[in-house]
Amino acid sequence: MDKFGMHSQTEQLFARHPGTGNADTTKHTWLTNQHLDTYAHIASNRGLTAYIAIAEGESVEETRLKMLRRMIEPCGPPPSSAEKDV
Amino acid sequence: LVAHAVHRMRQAFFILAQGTLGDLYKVTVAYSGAQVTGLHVAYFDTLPGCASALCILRAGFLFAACGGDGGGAHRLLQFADLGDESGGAAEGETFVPHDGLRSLAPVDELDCPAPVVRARMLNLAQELAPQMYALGGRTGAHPALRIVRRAADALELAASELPARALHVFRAHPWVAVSFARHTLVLRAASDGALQEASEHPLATDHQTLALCALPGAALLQATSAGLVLAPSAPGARRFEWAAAGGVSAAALAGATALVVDGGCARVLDVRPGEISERPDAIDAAECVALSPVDPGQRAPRFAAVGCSDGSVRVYLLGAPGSPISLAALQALSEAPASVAMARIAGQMLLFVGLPSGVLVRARVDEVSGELSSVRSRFLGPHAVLVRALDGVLVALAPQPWVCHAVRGCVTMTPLAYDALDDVAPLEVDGVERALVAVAQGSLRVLALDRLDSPEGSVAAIPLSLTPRIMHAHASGHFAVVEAEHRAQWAHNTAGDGDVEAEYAVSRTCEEASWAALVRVVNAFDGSTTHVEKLRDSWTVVSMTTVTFASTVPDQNQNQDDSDAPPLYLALGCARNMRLRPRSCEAAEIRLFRWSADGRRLLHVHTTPLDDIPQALVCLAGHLVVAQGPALRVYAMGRRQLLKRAHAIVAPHMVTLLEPATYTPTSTVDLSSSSSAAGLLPQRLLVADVQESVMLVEYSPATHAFCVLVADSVPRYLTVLSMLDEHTVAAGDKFGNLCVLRVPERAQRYIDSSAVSSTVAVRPTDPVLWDALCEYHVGDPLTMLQPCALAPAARSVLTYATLRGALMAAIPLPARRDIDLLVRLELAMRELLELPVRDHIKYRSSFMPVKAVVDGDLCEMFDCLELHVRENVAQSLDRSVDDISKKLHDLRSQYTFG
Repeated sequence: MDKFGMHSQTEQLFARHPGTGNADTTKHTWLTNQHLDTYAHIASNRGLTAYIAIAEGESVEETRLKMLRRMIEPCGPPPSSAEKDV
Repeated sequence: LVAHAVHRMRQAFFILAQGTLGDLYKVTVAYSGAQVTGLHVAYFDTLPGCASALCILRAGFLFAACGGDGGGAHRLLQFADLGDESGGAAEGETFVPHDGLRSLAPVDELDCPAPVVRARMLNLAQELAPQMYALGGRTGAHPALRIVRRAADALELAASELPARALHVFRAHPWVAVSFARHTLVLRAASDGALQEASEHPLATDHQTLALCALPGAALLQATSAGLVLAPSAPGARRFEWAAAGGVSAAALAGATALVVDGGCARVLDVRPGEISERPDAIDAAECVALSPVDPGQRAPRFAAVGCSDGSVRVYLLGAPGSPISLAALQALSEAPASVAMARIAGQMLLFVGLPSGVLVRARVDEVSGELSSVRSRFLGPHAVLVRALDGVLVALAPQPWVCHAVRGCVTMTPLAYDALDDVAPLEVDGVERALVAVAQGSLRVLALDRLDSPEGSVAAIPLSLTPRIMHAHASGHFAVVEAEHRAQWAHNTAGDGDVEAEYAVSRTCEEASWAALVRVVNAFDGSTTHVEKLRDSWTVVSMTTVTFASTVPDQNQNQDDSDAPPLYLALGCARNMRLRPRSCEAAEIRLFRWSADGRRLLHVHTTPLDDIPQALVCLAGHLVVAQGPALRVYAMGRRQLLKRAHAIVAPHMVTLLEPATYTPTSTVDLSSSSSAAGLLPQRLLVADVQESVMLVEYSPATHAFCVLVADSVPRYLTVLSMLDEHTVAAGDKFGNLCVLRVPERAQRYIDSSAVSSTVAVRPTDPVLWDALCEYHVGDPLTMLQPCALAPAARSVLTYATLRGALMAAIPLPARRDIDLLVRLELAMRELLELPVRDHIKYRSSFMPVKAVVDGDLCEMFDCLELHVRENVAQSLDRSVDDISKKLHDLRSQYTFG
């Protein structure tokens, strides 16, 4: 399979985009990436931010800032490296 | 803080910032050298609505872009003063916000329908095209039910009655001639547009006027049904007349040339002071005539257009006065034309032909040779079309007047939101860019058309108090609108009663689970509110539907209406102290109201308590289906509350949308049996989960059981659903994707057989999966999805609206040739237009790879390319440039408003 050099190309692509992960990715990192991507997408698309702002009863700017603030440690601090997680 | 703007003056600068409640603050920085010593914040003024951007202009204006997502309108304000220079409130004190604007003076406003929370295309006004009823705006920023028509507003400046039904109206400044069947009435136009009957005028009034034109030197040329009249400028000088042998039936005048049709024969006449001479040639079988507008440097028109009774229109080149005319072009039409006109629009000379069947044909006339090219036709309405060329625009009068004008260099046709007119003529009115004098059914009107360019069309807004969420229409033209605001509570009315405005005021709180809600019945035709139902104690309405129950229980309210029709009920799903994250509430109930037959009032019937938030409601075969969390419950009408009939958990997470699905059983059903057996036929329902897309669910009233027939394999967060036919669903989602799903063909027979629901469990282990036919990324969350026909005699298109206020149409393409052409055109456009930020195909495939949808907006940019680029593209597609333009124009004008 690697005859065509596909493996090296995909490895480079995965290394460039941190969200894709590798065999050593922990559950915490993976979940954090999901949350970060979601909040970033909501904050960047003004229509989606407005959708959430209308439901919450806040202004669009306030909702956008809330999304950005939630991007700091969305799933809590990373567990200590001594613990093994499944 | 929501938005800010910095303004630099010569010595100092200040910052204007806006908070979330709309308050503007003026921030000044005290500094010495390069050190900042202090920051001084003072309250400035309050704007309704949060701006997404503020901009301070050097001329002393403030532009606040409040429209769009914040709701309200874009505003241009002028600085009246720079706030309290002395500093206003000291530090630590609270300020009292101004009631209106004090330091700013409003200059202009651009209303914006966004955010469009819900919309529907309905034809309540029985017009040729449906209107869009859109709920938009946020609390405090002009929430309203906006009725949007794809038409330009015509402001009626004056109207008066005429003694009889007028046929035509013409103008040659300062005279306006209104022609009746046998005589003409002459009015004098003042500079402000007022028209007065004139007794002393140089025109002939004893015949019907067919055309009127002003000649250089203040002379007037008038064509009547008897012949031509040349009225000289000097008062008291003799009128010169040319009589036609058989009477004139149609005439056109321009410059010093006249084209009259007398006895079916069109003749060209040249007019000189004191003399009218005929040219040698005559054109036979002429029905209607027109002359091209005279170019500024010339004295005579170049072309004459004649519509002939053999079903063609001919263009002739007029040479110098006295010389013979030559035929330049001929265009065959489907029938003899009713009227012809030529106008110069957007730098092109265009020929317009109106046909008796209601079609308007438009062709481009080559300025040198007179040849016709780019023939386009459009159906305007079931009425003969009369075209009239005014300066720079053309008005086509069909059941609704249409104006053809230039918008940003492109020729556009816009309908006018006005009654049918019989004839129009231009008029000069002070302060109005373009005014018309028109006759309509025996009255004379003066109209102002200065908002032809506005893209949003004609909008009538019915103001509401809070952010509107849901609406339902009643056949009588009333709407029940639910308005609710989160993090708000009803304000205590301490300012005394009688103040209707304060009655529906809310105060903003920061608490998460406090709501203020009301249900309002408005009349869409006059904008009045006929009934308001306020919900207290932090109750809010989550869902609403109209319901007709199969079994009616006689209640005491029924005597008030005399109608025999089954009563229409309005069911409101309400929740108290609803919290969004995690989704919970203190109490939930369904309040049932009876909607009176005239649509004006709601009468409370009873209230049924529920266990969970009723996220969606739908009426299915005479029962009310309530979605509570992942379960569906069916209720029938009872005397004191609704009676539960069935309960099943159908969705994995939470049901958000319910839509009835049409269904015709394939197995033979004995319809001669009693109606109760017919009510036991299985009914189908589209159920959308919050994140697991839509599923087709069947409910059989006989066994009170639900079963999921078709499910989806891809997670979709749907916001709108629409059933296109028995097996096809169109759905739009929160992330801005549009998809069309269909039951695979081999499974259609399986799920249609009536034995399915009795054998399959509620959630089958091996469900049928939807086939995704179309996938497309629109960009903004969708809030409306509805198939409807947008123009008279047009086929249905799928109309959808996004939250940010765009209204779009997805046109189904049935012909393989069209699909091939458009797909290859889209590919060519993608390569040509180097969009700086994004790759077009990547954008349209943001979530799912784009499938079977062509981006029409991108294809229409073909007309904006330069000619040599267009020719290259056309060559690679094996068509001509004109073919492609015509195809794009036809798609727009035949299916949608174009």
